[in-house]
Amino acid sequence: MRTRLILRFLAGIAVGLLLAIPFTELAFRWQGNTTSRPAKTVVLTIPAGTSAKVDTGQKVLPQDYVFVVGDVLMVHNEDSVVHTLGPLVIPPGSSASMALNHLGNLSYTCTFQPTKYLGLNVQAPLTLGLRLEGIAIAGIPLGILFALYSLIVRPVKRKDITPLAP
Amino acid sequence: MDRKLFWVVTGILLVIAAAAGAATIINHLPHSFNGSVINPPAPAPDFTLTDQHGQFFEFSSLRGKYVFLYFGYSHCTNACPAAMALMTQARNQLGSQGSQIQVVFVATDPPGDTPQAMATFVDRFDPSYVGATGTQAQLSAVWAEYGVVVEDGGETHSDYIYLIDPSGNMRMTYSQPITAEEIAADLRAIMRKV
Repeated sequence: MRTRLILRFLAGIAVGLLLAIPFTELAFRWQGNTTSRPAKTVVLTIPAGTSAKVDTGQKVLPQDYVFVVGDVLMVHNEDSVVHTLGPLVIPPGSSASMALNHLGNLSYTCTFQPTKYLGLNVQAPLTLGLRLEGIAIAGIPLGILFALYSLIVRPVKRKDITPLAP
Repeated sequence: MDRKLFWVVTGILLVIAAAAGAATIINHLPHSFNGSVINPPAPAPDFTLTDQHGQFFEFSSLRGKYVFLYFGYSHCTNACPAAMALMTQARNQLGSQGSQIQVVFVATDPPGDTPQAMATFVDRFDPSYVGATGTQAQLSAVWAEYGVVVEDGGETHSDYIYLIDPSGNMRMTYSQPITAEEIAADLRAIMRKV
């Protein structure tokens, strides 16, 4: 009977883990966490003529960017005027960079957006380890619940107990 | 006895050689800068304003020195004095090398930042500092050249410390949070390479 119980729980956990795979993947995507690459240097180039376009309300570059923790954001300025982004000052023809070492949704003031703000979403990289962690966190309790539910619906019976004769 | 002395002297020489080797390696390790590095260094725009003594001040006259350049207003009670104190501490941290650094404070409130007001402000930190002011038109041109945003009559302004090298190139910028030790460490690394 003990073996059957263990097998029932193991089967429940296996089913829970399997079901958790699509659910955790959906959850990561729903949260917008889809960056599975390792940290690297990301170059953002401010094209020539940006300042003139921004003055007329035109958007030249995307408003939001997604990074992973450890990325280095290098901003290269091909425009003819100085641009700034948060702590960075980028003279024409030069670059400046900052390390993105902390998780979070950052909003920096900048001079190359009509809104004067740029959003930087710094995420934990969606690695295999993080996926497995998500599957384990969701799958194991789900599996235990399945096993308990199955015990209610279909209890494990002792083989050695013979029903009493009426 | 002579043999013992030989080994003692050899041991001391080996320790000195190892220390010298380690110091050389440490000196040549790439420094991880605490400020934002401008790469390649860009020429710092020149400007002519009026200093706290009412004299013409030409920024390019500081070639040959390192310059900390900061934009603020003389009656500021928070960010500007904090930045001035930070630059002063960074200079002090550098000991004798600190004298190679000139601090320049450029006005963001033309009507309020008179030469007298600038003198009172910079003298609180070091009378050798330059407090540069000018007309709205003169200062607006300088702000634009350095990417400084000034609003609310000068009381809201960008909070950058620019580091300019003796060749007149912008090398780094600093913004809060940063410590004097971090700025001084960057300067030591830059000075070592020049």
